[in-house]
Amino acid sequence: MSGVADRQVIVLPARSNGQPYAVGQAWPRRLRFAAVPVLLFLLWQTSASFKLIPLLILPSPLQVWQAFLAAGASGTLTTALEVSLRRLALGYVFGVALGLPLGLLFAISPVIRKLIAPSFWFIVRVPLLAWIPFLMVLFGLGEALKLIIIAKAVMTPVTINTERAIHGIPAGWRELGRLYRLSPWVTLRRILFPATILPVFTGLRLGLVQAWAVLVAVELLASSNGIGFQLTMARQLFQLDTMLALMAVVGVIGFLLDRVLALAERRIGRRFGGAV
Amino acid sequence: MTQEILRLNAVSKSFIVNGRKVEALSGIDLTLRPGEFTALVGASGCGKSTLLRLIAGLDTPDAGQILLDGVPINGASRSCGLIFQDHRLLPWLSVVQNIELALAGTKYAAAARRALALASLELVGLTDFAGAFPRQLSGGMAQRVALARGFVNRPRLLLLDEPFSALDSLTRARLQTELLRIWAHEGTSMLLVTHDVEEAVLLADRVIVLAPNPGRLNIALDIDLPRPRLRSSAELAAVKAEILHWLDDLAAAA
Amino acid sequence: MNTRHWHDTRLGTLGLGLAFPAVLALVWQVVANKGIIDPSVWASPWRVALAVSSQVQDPQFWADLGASLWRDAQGTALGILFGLTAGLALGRSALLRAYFGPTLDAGKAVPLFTWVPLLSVWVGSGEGGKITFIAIAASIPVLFNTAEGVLSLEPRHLELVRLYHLGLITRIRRVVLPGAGPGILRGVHQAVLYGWLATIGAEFLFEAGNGIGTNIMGARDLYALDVVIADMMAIGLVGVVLDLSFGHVERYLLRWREDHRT
Ligand SMILES: Nc1ncnc2c1ncn2[C@@H]1O[C@H](COP(=O)(O)OP(=O)(O)OP(=O)(O)O)[C@@H](O)[C@H]1O
Ligand SMILES: [Mg+2]
Repeated sequence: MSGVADRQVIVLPARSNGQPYAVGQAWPRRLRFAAVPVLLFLLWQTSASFKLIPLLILPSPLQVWQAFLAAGASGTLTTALEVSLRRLALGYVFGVALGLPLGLLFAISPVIRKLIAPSFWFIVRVPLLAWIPFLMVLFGLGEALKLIIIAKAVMTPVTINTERAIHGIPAGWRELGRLYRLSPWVTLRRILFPATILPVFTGLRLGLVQAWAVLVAVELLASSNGIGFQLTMARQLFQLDTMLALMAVVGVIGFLLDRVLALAERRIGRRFGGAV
Repeated sequence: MTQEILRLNAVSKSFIVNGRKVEALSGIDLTLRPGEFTALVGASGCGKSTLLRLIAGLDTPDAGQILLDGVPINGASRSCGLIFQDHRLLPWLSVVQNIELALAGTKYAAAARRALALASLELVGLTDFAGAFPRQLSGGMAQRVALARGFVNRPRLLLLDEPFSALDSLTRARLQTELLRIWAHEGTSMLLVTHDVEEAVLLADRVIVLAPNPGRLNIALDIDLPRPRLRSSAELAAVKAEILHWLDDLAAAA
Repeated sequence: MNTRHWHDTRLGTLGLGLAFPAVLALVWQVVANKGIIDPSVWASPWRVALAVSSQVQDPQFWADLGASLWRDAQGTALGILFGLTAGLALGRSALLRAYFGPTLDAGKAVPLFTWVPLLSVWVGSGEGGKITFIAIAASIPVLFNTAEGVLSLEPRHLELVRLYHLGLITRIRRVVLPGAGPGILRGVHQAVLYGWLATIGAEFLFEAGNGIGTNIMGARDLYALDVVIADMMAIGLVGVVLDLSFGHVERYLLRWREDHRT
């Protein structure tokens, strides 16, 4: 038996099933993920307690918390959030309303795709921020500028994913519809909708996450209200405690938007994804 | 001193599947003689691939001992080659690079490796496809490249895991002939896993039958038909019928 | 089923692609000529064309474009380098993934530009801040896609490493890098585009220096829409060229894949 026991046992991991891995998904023990944030927080607190970094440059956690409460109490935070979120919602609705039909048109009509897609693609490739000066000349710092920018950010992934979703329907499935002489309504409900819902929803999720990201950028650059503007104000007044509090708010909202929609996406995937 | 290239002593292996212990192999004793062509037949799932993986050193047995040339194996050995059930070519390497992979870490210089790989490729008649990627090959061609990779480092023992099972009968017949030619040419010892009894009888000096649940050695049968053998010969058909009968009995007993 | 339409030809496709912007420009020109829109705000296509030609001859424009590209190259290269290293480590080590994965996942959800005010205080509003920002922007897609690519390496391919006793170099060169290649390249491709976006953003948001972003903002202050559009087209063209050329590199490197288009 010698030479057997001391050899390491190699267990074959399960074969990759083609699903993308989320980097954070694989953590084995429940609480390990908290170690890094907790450590960072402790470092931060230590730095503040012993003034390793000037409080002006890195305020203490307590200061940031108080700044957050103060911004909340004075109403600046809630007003700013209200403005920003309304913008987000409106721009998002516009973007989806444009992106869905455009993706559909691209998918079903080769002529329209060849007509518009090259221009669309060029516009997509112009970095979003480069549009801002252009729109500023035309519309000033008004609401239109922000809505257009957000709508464009939303439209891009929505259009692309919608087109891909429709192109991605396996030809065999459409044939199934013809084979059994399904009515258009049944074909739509039983074949086209389930086959496309997941990738289309992915586009909608990416659109929302990007919309939030872009909204912050626009408000930093060209706005007189909203959460991004408050961030710029804090920066100019050198109130780093307020700035960090606002950053955290922006980050948490981005995180929540992403998580909630990712959860919904997983649900949809479970319901319809098995079919694909 | 040894007239055996491989010896297995009471080798066992089990897996945990779905929280349940599955005994894939139990108490396998087996010896292979140098230069011999051995075929291993058995029903699907009876542990044939598992056995080859143990011999190749990719997995370790739970109990028992595997001696290659009289020495207990420790991990994969250079003198033992394996051709997988799937061709397992790396899709991002060209055909010749895939073959050269088996020579990586050997003493050969780059030019010599290339020459060896090309020679091996010629053996399977695919010289023209040296620069192609696996996706540009048919299933049969990919399997031949896998054969070429199996041979290129001149293993003393070559393990083949149903290398032809996914092929149509015409291609399979051609590759069987090719395999015999290479075997005669190189004198390599072969251990071929198959569930095609005709293939086993056509190619092997000895056929070993593995019984399922748990996988254990059932019988070993010397095939002393003269070579070259004819697929259509009555003697071959008789031996084949005998083994099939045996397998039927095993299945009925299970 | 396979009838060829006139628009399936190369010429037809090209013609259709150009028709849309051409008609748009024509309408715009006509409307501008008729004075329907305010000519002092809405520069006509003709005036934009003039602005393009004057910009092309202006050494300042080329200096600005060059400065932006250089800034972009430095930041993006740094970001890719960091993202690749961290991504490989994260992909190979379950322990690192357990500790850092969730924090990084959460950090990714923070909009990129949120970091600008903080960076401008901590790193400075000059060149250092800009390049750091570009590097962060470029590193994110590389890090996540590389880790994903490494994670998607198939065990049956890794098994060949053991069967053939591949050494570290061969293992990385022949198995790990190409196996993770699609992910890595996707990440680097995105990084190149993000880097350029971040370059423009940095030039807008950090203190003014040289660069095409500063150039376009200067034109905006003068309400010179023609110059703004010309600059915008230049920025867009850089994006398109980066995208296309990287797409070619990517397709060449991934020519082994099933779905490779020849
Ligand atoms: N890595 C593994 N993990 C868990 N169980 C395994 C593993 N490999 C094999 N088994 C189990 O061991 C048994 C034998 O499998 P094996 O692949 O050796 O069969 P086989 O004889 O090669 O079958 P086939 O002819 O279909 O290839 C099966 O019950 C299988 O479920
Ligand atoms: Mg098997």
